Amino acid sequence: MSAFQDLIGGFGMLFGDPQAVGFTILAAFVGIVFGALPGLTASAAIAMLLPLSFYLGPLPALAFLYVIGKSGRYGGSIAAILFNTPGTAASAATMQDGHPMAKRGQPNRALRTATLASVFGDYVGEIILIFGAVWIAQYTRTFGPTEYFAIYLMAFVVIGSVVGKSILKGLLSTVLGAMVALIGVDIITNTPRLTFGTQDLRDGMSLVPLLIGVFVISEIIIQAERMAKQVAVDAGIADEHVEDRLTFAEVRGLIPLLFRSSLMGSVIGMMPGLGSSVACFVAYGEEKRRAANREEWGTGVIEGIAAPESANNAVSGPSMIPLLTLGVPGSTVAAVLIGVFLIHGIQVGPLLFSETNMIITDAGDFFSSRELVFALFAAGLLGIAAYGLMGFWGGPLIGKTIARIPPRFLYPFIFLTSVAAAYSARASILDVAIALVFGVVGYLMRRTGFAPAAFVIAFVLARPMEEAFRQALLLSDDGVLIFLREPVAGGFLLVGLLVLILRAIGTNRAARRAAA
Amino acid sequence: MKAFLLASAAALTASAAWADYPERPVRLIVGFSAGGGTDTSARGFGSFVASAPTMNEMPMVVVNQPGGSGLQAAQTVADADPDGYTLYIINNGTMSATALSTPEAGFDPRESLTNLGCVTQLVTGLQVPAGHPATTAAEWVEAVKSSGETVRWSTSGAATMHAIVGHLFMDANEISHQVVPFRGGSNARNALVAGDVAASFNGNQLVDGFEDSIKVLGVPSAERDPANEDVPTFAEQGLEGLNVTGPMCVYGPTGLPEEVVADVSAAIQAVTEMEGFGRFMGRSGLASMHLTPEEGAANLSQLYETFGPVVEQISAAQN
Repeated sequence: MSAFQDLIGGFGMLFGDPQAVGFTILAAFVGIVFGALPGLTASAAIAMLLPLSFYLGPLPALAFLYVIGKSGRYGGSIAAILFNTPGTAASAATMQDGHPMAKRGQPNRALRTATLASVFGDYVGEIILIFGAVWIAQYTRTFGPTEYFAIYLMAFVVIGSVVGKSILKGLLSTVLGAMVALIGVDIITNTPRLTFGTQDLRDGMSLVPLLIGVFVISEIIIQAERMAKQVAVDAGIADEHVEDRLTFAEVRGLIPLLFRSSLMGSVIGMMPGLGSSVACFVAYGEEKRRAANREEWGTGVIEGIAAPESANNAVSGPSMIPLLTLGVPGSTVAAVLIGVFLIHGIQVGPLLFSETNMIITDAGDFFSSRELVFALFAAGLLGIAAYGLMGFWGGPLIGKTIARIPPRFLYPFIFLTSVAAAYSARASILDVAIALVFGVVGYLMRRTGFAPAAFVIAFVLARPMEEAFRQALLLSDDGVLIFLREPVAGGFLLVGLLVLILRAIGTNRAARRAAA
Repeated sequence: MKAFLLASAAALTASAAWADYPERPVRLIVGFSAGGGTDTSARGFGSFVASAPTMNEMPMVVVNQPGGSGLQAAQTVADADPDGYTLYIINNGTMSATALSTPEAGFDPRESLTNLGCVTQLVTGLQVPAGHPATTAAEWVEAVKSSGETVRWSTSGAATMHAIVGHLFMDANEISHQVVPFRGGSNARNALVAGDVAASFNGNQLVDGFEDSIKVLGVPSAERDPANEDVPTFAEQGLEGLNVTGPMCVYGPTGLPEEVVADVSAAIQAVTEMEGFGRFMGRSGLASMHLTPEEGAANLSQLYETFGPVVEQISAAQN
């Protein structure tokens, strides 16, 4: 049980650093607020706040952004329940029963169910992460460029084909992300590519402004458009509260369902590219199928809130497994976190779990990356408790406060903050331009059904994938056959191929059914 | 008479302005993102420099300006007012390799920057798996040459200091070899740990904590590195000696007032003599080491001469 002892050490390191504890608790609050703001997701919050983390040590920075990812997923349920708009894609399924329950005068019952389910799911996912990642990392330590290329390629295919409704548009979004990633000096030959002769693009397109553009600015354009069109949303809830409480017996009855949904969410979270937005619908659909009161679902049943909310938060922990054991980000939150690790000079991958891989901070403290990762896990566990407590007692208040802020003040403020964040990452005006351009690109992608999430993950994956491919060729006497000769690499390539075929069969069948 | 008055007025204001440099904190620009090796050394240096007697308790504040592999920040400092409040910290090996392999930038640090002294150094090592039977670089060269196989080696980039040393070493010893460049030294080291490559030319500070899987057989410097006293130089082992080390130096624009040069270079020497600074660098696997401005500038010129032909050869191989 060495992982268990390391976790206790992680708590020691976390509580030895008051700044880290403070930022973990702040993150719980910030994430709830961002998640509850219609349209803004946890990824948007992380992209905007990433530059702030430059001024923090590695542990407070990572804990801050990681916990925002968790509490942001939860915060979306507040908007879903109270305003009937999904605060994040992850809470779209919660709306179906959450809002009807609030509408008939039980908003607090709905919010508390969502809080308890989120906390339950998040803890299940986090525990799977802590013990699973350590176990997997011992096998991935010997992976070299050959295996990495195969993993990246598999991730590419899976992400491209499962994110979004259309395989073709998903794959095209992936290709676009990969092409943007080609900008910059080629690491193998030292040749500048697509830099238009400027020095500014030599190090490539930077991640932070791109994320801010795709996740924040594009969303602001969509909100502006929605306001201009005056779309009426059925957001009313009853003024009178009717039996608005959650009883202990109800919670106890939910426990088997919570376990099932959390495990479903965890398994989905481990797959690169499948995230909370998939998990919540899968869990909702599966629990509805099993339920005895199936026909009541959609009218405001407690199970219809608990299933999607536990599943979408259970994604959070396991989605870090590919990142920590392979260095491959499986979700947009993980893609941002890889940037934070690199900013602090920490290489992500199986060596993270090495006890001898030392990190030193500005203040001269030093610790191994294994200690840091376990302290981050500890921060995750603390952060779940923090957002759970805040949400359980403060959720209704946060929701009401947000409803009072007029969007015409809120979104311009967020726009300004995001421009400032894009600038401050490198003190670069070019980065502001990049954020604005990708804001428009992100907006167009959403309006035309392309997948911005696939675009961003492909952008992050394409460079290391290309490098791994060419390094593998340099290591090989037989050219591309090296990928088939290595069993692990061949295995991953096969998985990618299978996913593509299954998905093609699935959509084909769905199309035929629709036509019939 | 008028000219004389103007000149003396100018001299007076100048001496008033420089009388007690520095009067405010100095910006120390780092050409890379926060958290990297250069940044860590710079922040360590910046935090100790305020207690040097010539600095009037004024700190050097690190400002990160990443871009163009450090060249943008170098150009910013070269174009800054030569008042001593904008300085640059960079490794000579990195700067000469980057400037040489980016001729289109048209930047020559030997002409545009003034060396103010150096505080530590990066030393490249020939690194091989700890289990390899060779105990010296000479034995290793023998072993790989008699095996007749192509040596695949990892390094921190296509034309970094470590890569250039690798090419020089392999060619001088007539070893059949294939370079595998990685993004950064840590990735190059990980490839050696994972057994994908037979050797690595990489910074020796990165071996810290990996002694179980990596051993360093030799260094290309004229003298042993104070951070790793037990690793012999190539020359000591009877191999062709090189004289390549990457000192971490502080630079200002050209045309700095004499007082600034004197104060900053004295402060740099004072920092390298502080016990705390040595301890700080020791945690990164480096050692505190002092070079005067003249020695630092001479090192840069020498690196330029050594690296020039190799960089040309590397870029010719791509076309």
